[in-house]
Amino acid sequence: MLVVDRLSVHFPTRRGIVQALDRVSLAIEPGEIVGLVGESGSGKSVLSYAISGLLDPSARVIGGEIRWRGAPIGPIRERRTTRAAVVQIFQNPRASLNPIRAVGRQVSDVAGQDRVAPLLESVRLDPSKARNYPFELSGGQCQRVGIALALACEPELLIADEPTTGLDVITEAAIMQLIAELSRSRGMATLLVTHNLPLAAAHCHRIAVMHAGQIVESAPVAALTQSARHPYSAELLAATPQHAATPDDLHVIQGQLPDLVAPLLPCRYATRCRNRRPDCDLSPPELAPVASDHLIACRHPLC
Amino acid sequence: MAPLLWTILRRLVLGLPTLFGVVVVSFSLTRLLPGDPAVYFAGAAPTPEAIADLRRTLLLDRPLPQQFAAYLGDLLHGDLGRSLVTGQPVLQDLSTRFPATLELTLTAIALALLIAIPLGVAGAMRKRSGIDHIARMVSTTALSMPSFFTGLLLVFVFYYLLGVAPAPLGRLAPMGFPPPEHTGFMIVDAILSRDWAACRDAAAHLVLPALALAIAAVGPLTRVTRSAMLAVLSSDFIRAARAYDLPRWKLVYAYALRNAMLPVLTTAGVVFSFLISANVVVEKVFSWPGIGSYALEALVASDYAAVQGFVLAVATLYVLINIAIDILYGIVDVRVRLGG
Amino acid sequence: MALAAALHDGFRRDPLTAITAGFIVAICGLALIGPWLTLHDPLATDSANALRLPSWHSPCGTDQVGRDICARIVYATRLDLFIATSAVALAIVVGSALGSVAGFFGGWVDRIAMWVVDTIMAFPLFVLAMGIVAALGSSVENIVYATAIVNVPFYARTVRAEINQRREAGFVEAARVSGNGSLRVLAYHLFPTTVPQLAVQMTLTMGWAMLNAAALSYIGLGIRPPTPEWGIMVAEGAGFIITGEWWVALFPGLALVLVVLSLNLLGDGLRDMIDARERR
Repeated sequence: MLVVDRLSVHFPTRRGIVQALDRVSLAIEPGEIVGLVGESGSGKSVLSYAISGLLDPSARVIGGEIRWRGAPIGPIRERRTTRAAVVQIFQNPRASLNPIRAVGRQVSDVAGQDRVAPLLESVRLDPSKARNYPFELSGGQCQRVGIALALACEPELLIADEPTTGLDVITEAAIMQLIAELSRSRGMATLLVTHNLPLAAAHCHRIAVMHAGQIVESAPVAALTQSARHPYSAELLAATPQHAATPDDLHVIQGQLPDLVAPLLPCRYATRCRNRRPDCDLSPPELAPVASDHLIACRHPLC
Repeated sequence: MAPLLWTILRRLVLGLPTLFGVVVVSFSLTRLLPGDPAVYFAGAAPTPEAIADLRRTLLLDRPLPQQFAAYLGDLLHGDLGRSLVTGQPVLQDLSTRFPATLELTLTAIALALLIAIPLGVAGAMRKRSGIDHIARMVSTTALSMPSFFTGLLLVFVFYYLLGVAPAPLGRLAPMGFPPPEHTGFMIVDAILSRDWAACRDAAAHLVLPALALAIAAVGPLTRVTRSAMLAVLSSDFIRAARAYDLPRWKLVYAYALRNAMLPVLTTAGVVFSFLISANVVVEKVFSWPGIGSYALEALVASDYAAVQGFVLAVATLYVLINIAIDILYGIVDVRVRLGG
Repeated sequence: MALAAALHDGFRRDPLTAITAGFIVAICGLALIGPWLTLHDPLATDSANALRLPSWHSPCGTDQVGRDICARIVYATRLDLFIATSAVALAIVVGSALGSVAGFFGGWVDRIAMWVVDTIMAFPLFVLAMGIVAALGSSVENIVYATAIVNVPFYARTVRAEINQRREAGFVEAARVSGNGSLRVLAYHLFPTTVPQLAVQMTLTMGWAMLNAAALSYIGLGIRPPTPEWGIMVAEGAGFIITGEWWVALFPGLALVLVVLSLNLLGDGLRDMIDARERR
């Protein structure tokens, strides 16, 4: 349904050209819940904006394309010739709503007055809240409004960009449960973009791991959590805090994300990688299957 | 409703120190006159008795605090002194001439908004395009033009060269009869008494001075509209609204522009300051019988009571306008109104 | 020097600002040496040649008593620039002092200083300038003082905001710990950091100060004829607009608009440059 095919995106800035995405490939089938996991600054949001068409006009696609049901679509929504039923919910729910307009009015702007009450009910929000303004609602309630707005567009793909970051754990669970249920009942595919690997593991069918603008591994959840083959994925798994552990047991991934403006090595994880060999610097690693539905971009994967 | 009343009250009380400062400054101005103030206020060729009399009235032989208290007392009674030129109380002179200034200023504001807002919005929507450069050049040039020059240019082009505007000799043609006065707004009065000839005449005389004033306001208004729109257009909720495929006109007007108007409203106070100042000069160019030309005539005639009265009245008005704008902002911005 | 390099870099990115900067420098040059270059005496009247259209002999024409307008404009450059520059300089000195102590010491000092500034800003500024000149008497000096006073708030607020922002910064602590008294810390360590914003503010208000002074002269305060000054020249020429002798008022007015426009453009360019650097 949605195919991102070797997409490369650059941003010209005052400091230089930010090489935000490098030959990113991703596929999402109808009804799938796919997780996109990576550190802050790994390019997850850039990819999500490219798919939903909200990329900054200064962005340049320098290679590859995005296809919706076979038809190519651009990174700026208003210029697309084919309309893709993709919609997005955002990281800071309150900031993503019009601050001086009642939430009910905002929903009716998108869906029409008649659908306001049913939509609010479907996100488990009391329809009487329609009269309220965003600042009068909690973060969780604002995110529910965001989901209602997204649903009003009858999407086939929902991109959830860090939807629960900044919410407390209980609200987080409720929102994730809501998204999962809606996904099932409407047959809606979901792309869950998050830095929180356990969260993705709990709710997704498949996870794609991203590092410095490159997809390094893409696998079903079980395969990834039990037998991650890319060194970075393994590090991410190891860094997850465990219940019984103490702070001293916390695993830290060595190194930092490389500066995307400076000249970069073909494999952008090389400087932090324990498995680095001389031939890693020769040419970029391609995403290739190591098992059915399990792709990695690495010359020397873990066994 | 209660929070709103509290806001108004609180804002009024907060404005008191400023108002007090304004009164202090006005008082100091009258006492700063080089030489003997009594001589100034007595006018041309005063007799020694008149001067002595005035010195007693102005309490110039008493200590300053007492003089100030007396001045304050006079003000609270609405006594701004007496004009030498007209012989009337200054406050009366000002209130008679105020509607003319108000009609001119309100028209100018309406004109300025009609020009500035579309320009600012267009410039922000198409940043760095042709229209944006035009918007920026227009606003910067408008900011750089002194109002007296703008007025003269307009008179030259539209009256002398093109002949479409009437001579800059006031609100009506010299031989024209003003309509019976109800509001003091000549156009409104003309409509009320169905005097269409006077209405057309008044409107024709209003256009050029209002335009000259409007140009003074277009500079800051265009700039703030453009920058406010730019800030709003790059905000998170606008990006989110794009994701929901809102129709473009709704996105621009109901979502972006309405939010952008908030900073524009706070700039309105500064714009008023520009306009009040520009009024003085424009009224001179067009012989407009408002409070600005009143002050100028008083200056020329060394009618100090009138000048100082004018300064104080205008400053007080300005303080009140700023308070009103603050309150209005509190109403329009839902977050303030509902105590967010 | 770092400043020269920064300016060069900035001008390279933004040629319009470079051009306007050059124009301003040229105007200053004109103010300084212009009077030696003009062919006519700005005060010499010649009634036989009154109100002549612009020609080779008199590029801007002659006014109602036969004086060459071009020469008068050139002489007026000096006077107008002098008034604007001294007013702004005075305003910067007083405003910075006020803003510095307000931002640094806070508390009562801050409240009183801001009360003064707010009171000045409570008046429509031109009206206040009018009132001050009316009270002090009509002279060039008093126009400078009046214009300076109404400009003080802009600088006071800018400096106060900058100093307030950096008051708790590390380098201030370090300076204090190494034995510098409060005033020394303020003057030598904190104040220099406000200079970039101050420079931006200066170019932005310089144009406005010039318009202010010209408007005061237009309404008859300060400059006495026959001294050439742009505002008073426009006032003298105003009456002739209706009878068609447009050049008497137009050329001085245009001179004023051009200089103020350049100052504003320069201010905008400088602000963009400095903002960009601070963001980096």
